[in-house]
Amino acid sequence: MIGTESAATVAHLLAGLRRRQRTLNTLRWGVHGLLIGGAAGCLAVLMMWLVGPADVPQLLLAAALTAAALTLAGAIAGALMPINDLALARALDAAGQGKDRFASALQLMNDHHKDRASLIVEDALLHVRHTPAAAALPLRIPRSARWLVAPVALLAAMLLLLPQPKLQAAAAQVPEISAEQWQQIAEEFDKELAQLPKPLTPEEEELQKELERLAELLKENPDKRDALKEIAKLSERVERDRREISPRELSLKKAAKAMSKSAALKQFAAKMQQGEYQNASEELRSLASKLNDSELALDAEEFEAMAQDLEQLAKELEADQELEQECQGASNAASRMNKKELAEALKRMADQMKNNAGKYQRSDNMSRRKSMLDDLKRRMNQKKCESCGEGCSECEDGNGFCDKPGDKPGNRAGRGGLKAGWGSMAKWDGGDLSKNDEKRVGEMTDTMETQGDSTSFQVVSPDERARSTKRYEELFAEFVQLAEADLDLDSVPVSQREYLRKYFKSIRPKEPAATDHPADPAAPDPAP
Amino acid sequence: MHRELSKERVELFRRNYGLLGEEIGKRIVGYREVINQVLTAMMAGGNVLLEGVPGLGKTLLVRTIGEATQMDFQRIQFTPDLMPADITGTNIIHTDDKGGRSFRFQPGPIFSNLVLADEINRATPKTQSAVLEAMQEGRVTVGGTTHKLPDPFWVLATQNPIEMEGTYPLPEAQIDRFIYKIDVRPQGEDELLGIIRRTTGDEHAQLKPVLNREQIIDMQATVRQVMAAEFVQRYAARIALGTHPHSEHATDMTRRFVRFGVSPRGVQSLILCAKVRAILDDRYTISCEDIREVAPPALRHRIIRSFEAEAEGITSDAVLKSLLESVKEPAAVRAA
Repeated sequence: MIGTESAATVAHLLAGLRRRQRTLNTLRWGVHGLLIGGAAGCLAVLMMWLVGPADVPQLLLAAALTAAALTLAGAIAGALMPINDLALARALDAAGQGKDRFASALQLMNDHHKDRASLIVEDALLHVRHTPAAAALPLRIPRSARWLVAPVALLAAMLLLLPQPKLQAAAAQVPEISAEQWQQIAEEFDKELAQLPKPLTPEEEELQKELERLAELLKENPDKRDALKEIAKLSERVERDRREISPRELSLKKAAKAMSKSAALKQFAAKMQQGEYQNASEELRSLASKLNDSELALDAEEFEAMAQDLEQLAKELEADQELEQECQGASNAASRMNKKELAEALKRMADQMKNNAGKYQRSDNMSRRKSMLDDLKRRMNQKKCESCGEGCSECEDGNGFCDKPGDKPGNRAGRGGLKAGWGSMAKWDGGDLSKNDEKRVGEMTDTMETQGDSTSFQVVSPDERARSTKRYEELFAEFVQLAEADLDLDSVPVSQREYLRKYFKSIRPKEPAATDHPADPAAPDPAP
Repeated sequence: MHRELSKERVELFRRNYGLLGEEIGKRIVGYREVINQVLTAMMAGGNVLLEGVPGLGKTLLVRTIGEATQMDFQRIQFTPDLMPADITGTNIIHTDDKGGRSFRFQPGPIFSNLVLADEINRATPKTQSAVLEAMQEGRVTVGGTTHKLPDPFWVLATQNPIEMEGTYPLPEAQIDRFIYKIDVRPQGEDELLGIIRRTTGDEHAQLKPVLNREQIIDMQATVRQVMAAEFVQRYAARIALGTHPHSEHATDMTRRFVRFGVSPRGVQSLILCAKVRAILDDRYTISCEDIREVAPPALRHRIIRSFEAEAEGITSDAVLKSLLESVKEPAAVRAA
C-alpha cells in the first residue's frame, strides 16, 4: 500500500486539476453557448422581423438576450460535465514530461504488488509534483471562438440590409370605411350629382365628368386616402375655376338673404335666392318701368326700406364692383326718394345683372360643387357636428358649426367653441379674425420641466374657425407618408432613420377603437 | 526466486544493458537501432528474425552477442537438405564399457543458449517447423522423450528477401513466433568507413564477456516486473485490433490492404518489448509512447497483406504507420 503522504499528494494534485478542468469546461462551453446563442439570436431577429414590426433596439435586445441565455446554459453545462481523472493525469504527465508515470500510478496505486505500486507512485510524484495545473491544462481559446465573428457579422448585415418596418401604425390609425358605408356614401353623392345644374361651359362639362369619375371610384370601395386625394384634387380645381370667374367669392344667393325689408324688392330677392338671375333682372326692369309710369306708389317708409335693402345688398356684392356701384346708386336714389333716378338706377342694375347672369350662375354652380365635395369629405370622415352630435343643416356648410345650443361662444368654455385654436380657448384674446389674417398670440408660460420661463406662440386661423379641418389620424398619416418616402433615401443616416421612427412612434394616435370618435382636440401638434 | 522490482534493480539492468551494448559496439559498426532492437527482444525473452541482404553483418552481430554474453552459441546454416534431426538431435546406439548397447540422445545444435538460424527460409517446412516448435515450447521431443532446452534459449534467424528461388517462405503461423522482425538495411557512408577501418587492418577487436547466463535471466525477470497500466494495455489492444480489417479500430488502409491482423502474441510482444524500453528510460511502468516505438518491429511480420497491397507495393510498415496515427489513446490529452 502506498504511503499516506503520497496518497494525499496524489489527491491534492488531482483536486487542483479537477478545479482547473471545471473552469476550462465552463469557459469552453460558454463560448460554444455564445456561438450557438449568436446564431439563435440572428434567427430570433429574423423571426421577429418576419412576424411583425420591431425597431433596431428591440431586435438587438432580443439577440443579446438569446445569446446571453445560451451562453449561460453552455457555461452551466460545462461546469456540470463529468471529469475524467485519467485524462487529467495524462495531461499532467504531458506537461511534466512524466511519460505516463502519473497516469499509470493513478491506475496502479491499488495494485496487489504493494511495493511496486509504492515505487511507481513515488517515481511519478517525483516527476510531476511541481508541475502546476495551469501548465497541464492551459487556457486556450476554443477553436469554435473564431466563428464568433460570424453571428455578429450576420446580425449586423441583417440589421442593415433587412427592410426596416414601415410606420404602419399610421395607416392602421386611419379609420377604415366599410363596404356598406362606401355604398351609402356613393349613393348620396350620386343623388347630389344628379341634382347639379347642367354645365354651362366646356370647362364645367369636363369638371362634371371628373365628378362622375369620382362617383365611380366611390362605388369601388377605394382606399380612403386615395379617395381623399381625389377629392382634394377636385376641390382645388373647383376653387381655381371659381376664382377665374371671380377673384373673390361671388354668391348673389347669399347676398339676397340680406334683403328682407322692402316689399317692392321681395320678388327680386326671391328670384335671386333661387338663382334665377335673368328673371331677377326682369323683375328689376319691371319695377323700374312701374316707377317711371307711376304705376307703383311708394311711401317714405318703402323708400327707406328699399334704400336699406339695396345698401345691404351692395355690401354683400363686394366681389362684383360694377353691380355694387349700381346697387349703391339705386340705394342712394331710394334714400333721396327720387323715383326717376331710382328707376334709372334699377334699370342699369338690371342690365348689369342680365349681362352677368351666366357668370353668377357659374359661380353658384362652382360653390355648389365645392359644397358637395366638402359634404362628401365630411361623410367619409364621419364628422358630426360637435354641438348637436349629428349632421345638421348648419354643419353641411363644411365648417362643422351650427347655431344649436351648446355651440355658442362661451357655452363650451375650455373646449374651443367659435374661438380659434382648440385647446387655446382660455388664453385667446378673443379678437376678431379676418380671412388670411392669422394672429400669433405670444405669452409667457411657466414650464414644469426646467427652471425659468419660456415663450410659446399659438397660431389661430380664422378659416378653420377654432378647430382643425383634419382629424389628427389623417394629418399623422400624411406626415408618415412623407417621412416614409424619404426614410429609404441613402442620404438619410441610419441612426437618424431610427430617430425619426422613434419620433413618429411617440406621437402615434391611439388604438383604432379610439379613432371611431371625433379627433381628440387635446392631441399634440404632429408638426415636427 | 528473484528480488522485487526496485530502483537498484532497474539501475543494474540499465548498467548491464549498457555494458553489453558497448561491447557489441566494439565490433559492430553502426546499426545502433538494430542492436537495440535485438537486445530488447533478448531481454523480453523473444526470438528475432533478421531480414536483410547478405553481407550486412547479421551473422556477425549474432556471433558478437554470443561472445559478449558468455552463453553457448550455435550456428545452423539452413539448406534444403537439412533435416529436423540435424537440428534437434537424434537417438544413437551407445555401447557402454560392459559392451551393453542402448539408445542415447545426442543433442543437436539447437541445445544451446544462443542459436543462429542462418537463412532459415532455405530449409524445408518440415525442418523449419522443428526449429519453430523448439522456439515456442522451449523443449524438444525426440523418440518419445522430451528434452528441455537450456535457459535462456534464444534464436536469431536470418532470411534473405531477394533470393526467392529455392526458398520456402516461413508460414504465417510460424513467423508469428518471432517477437521481433528487424529489417537490416545497408548503412551510410560514415558507417562503411568504420567497417573498412576495422575489418581491413591487422587488428581485430577482442571482446570479453560482460554478462553471464544468470545475469541475463535476472534481467529478463526484471523486465517482467515492470508494470503496465490498464490504459496502456488498452492502447496496445486497440493497435492490435486495428490491424484486423473488420475491427472498429481499423483504418481505411487496414480495411483495404490487410487480409489478416496480428494474433494475441502480437499484443504480448508489444507489452514485453515496451517494458524493456521503459526500464531503459528509468521507468517502472510503460507508456503509450513505448507501445508506438516497439510496434513496427513487433507487428510488421504478423500482418498478412492482401493481394492488392502486394500489387501496389504497400508494405506492412505503411499500414502500421497509418494505424498508429489514427488509433486514439485512452483518455488522450485534448486541447482545453
